[in-house]
Amino acid sequence: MLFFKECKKILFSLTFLIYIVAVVGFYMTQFSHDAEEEISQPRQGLEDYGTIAKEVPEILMPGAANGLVSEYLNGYYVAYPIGFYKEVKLSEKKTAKMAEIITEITGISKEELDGFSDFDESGMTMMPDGNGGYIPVPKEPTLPEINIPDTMTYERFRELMRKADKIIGGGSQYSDNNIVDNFSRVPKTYEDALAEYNDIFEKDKVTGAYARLFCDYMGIIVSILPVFAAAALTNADRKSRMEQLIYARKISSVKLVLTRFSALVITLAVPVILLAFIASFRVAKLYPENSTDFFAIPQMSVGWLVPNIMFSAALGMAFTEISSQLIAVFVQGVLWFGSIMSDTELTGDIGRSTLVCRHNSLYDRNAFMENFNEFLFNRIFYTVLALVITAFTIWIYSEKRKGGLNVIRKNIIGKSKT
Amino acid sequence: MSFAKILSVNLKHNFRVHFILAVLIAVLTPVVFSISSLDTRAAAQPIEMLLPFIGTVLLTPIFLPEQNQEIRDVIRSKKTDYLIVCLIRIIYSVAAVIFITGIFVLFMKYNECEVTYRHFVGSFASSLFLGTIGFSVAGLSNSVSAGYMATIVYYSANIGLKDKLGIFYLFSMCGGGEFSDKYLLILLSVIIISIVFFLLKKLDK
Repeated sequence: MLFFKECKKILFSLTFLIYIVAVVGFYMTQFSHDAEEEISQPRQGLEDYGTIAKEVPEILMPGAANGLVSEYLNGYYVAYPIGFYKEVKLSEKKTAKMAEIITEITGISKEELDGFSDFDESGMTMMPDGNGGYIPVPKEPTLPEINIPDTMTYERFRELMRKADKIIGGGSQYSDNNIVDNFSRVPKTYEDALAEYNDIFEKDKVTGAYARLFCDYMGIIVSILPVFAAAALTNADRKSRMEQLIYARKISSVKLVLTRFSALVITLAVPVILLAFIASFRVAKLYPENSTDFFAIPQMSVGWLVPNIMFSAALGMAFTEISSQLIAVFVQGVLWFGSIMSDTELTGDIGRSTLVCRHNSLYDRNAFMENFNEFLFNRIFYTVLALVITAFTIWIYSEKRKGGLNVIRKNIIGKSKT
Repeated sequence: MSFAKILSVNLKHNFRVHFILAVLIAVLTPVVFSISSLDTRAAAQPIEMLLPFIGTVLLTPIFLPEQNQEIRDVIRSKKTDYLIVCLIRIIYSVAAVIFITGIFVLFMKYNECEVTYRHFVGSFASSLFLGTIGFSVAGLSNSVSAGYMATIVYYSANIGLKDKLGIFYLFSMCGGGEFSDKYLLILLSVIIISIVFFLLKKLDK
């Protein structure tokens, strides 16, 4: 049967061997390490339990206003337009527009801002520690006095922040995605920390929290490696000069491409799901007294990781079919690199088109659940996209069998060498 | 066939696409990372985290033209040793890595980044080592795909394991690690490439 033949081809390939080494290696070095010890209950009476982002206008407005004035006086604005750190310097025209926003928020005119000479950046400064030594402490920036008028509503303030973000070019600290996290953080109380801890046992049944962490680590690898297996499988006919022979066979293009695609997805997904079961055993053993949901990690793996395997495999097949393995790897590599480097928040910050979804923590269930609809949309989107790309590959393959696309491929894209 | 002839034929037929991709990586780097007025450590980020992929795209496909068994059989029947041809390819590919890295670091300097020769050597070392991984796996397995894959796995291990990798950590300058590790990476690359050539000669590949 063709399906088993294709599976056999994949299972005995070097790319599959490297895939297994990588997946098992990531499991052993990353996930296993985090599943060595039980999560400890927060102790009462600690000075610091960290902070959490909470939208409190009374905290957010002065914080964001200070930040904007500080960056204006600095002469550049920090932004992550496509996920990477950038210092954006504005033109005179845009600086004037930014000054208008600051004037509306703070009452400070452009002339006053430009003439302010006592500006001192925030950062660290050395202070006496009381024992004759010095310790570094955060230093507040020296800024002109900022008084937000009482007439300024929160809605108008956020509207102005969106304008400021647009002037900077997006991805700034004032964008809708970042403003609360950057300027409205409140100290976490013991009760908050305890509630978060209890969520792991009550709502997540322990394994739910570990399922997110497992998928976070595995997602890095399975979002890129299937493209190699797909490209190698698709290229195998060309490499063994069997292309023309297969073109002449009776089997339909739909059946051939779909069989290969499903063989790829199943052979690449099975090792990950097996590891998910092993992870479940490990977690259940770590918490013998708690009732754990044994299937949470495998279930989450199917929903979270299989769309990544499908997308990467589909893209690998399509680009190898129309051009070469090199181009397939390059395209998937660019998408993968862009995604892993743009994940500035590693917990819960999952957008509708995020390729590599991250949640690198056993905690922060709420952050994940707040974005759960986005997450669902995201995974369905990549699944559908993978199927659309596969349909495109079927069309390409059938056109090539007819002889139509070979001419285009040779003349426009160039001869494939891989 | 003379050295010049081998060089010109290979540059014409086996280098162009890979060189274009390497240049594309260098051109894309300022699009994704800021390279203006960066201090020493911040300047290490683009040159250690993205630029080293030029090593992958230039060194991994050294054996690509003869990946097909029939072509390799024809090549082996020629008077010129096949591995000499591969050695020439390595030399010009490494020269291209040095050239692109050098231009990029100078461009950063022009953009008022605090870059020194250490950034150049550090970036070159990471590129060379990443490329050496791809070259070795591709050469020994006769599969360029496996070579590319190995570099991605190694790069991912750097993201996950960070400085636990010791001298093999590619992003050591970003984390303020020992600079002397970069010289070790270059030395290791040369040793690994030599071992691969020795093994290929022994295996008569």
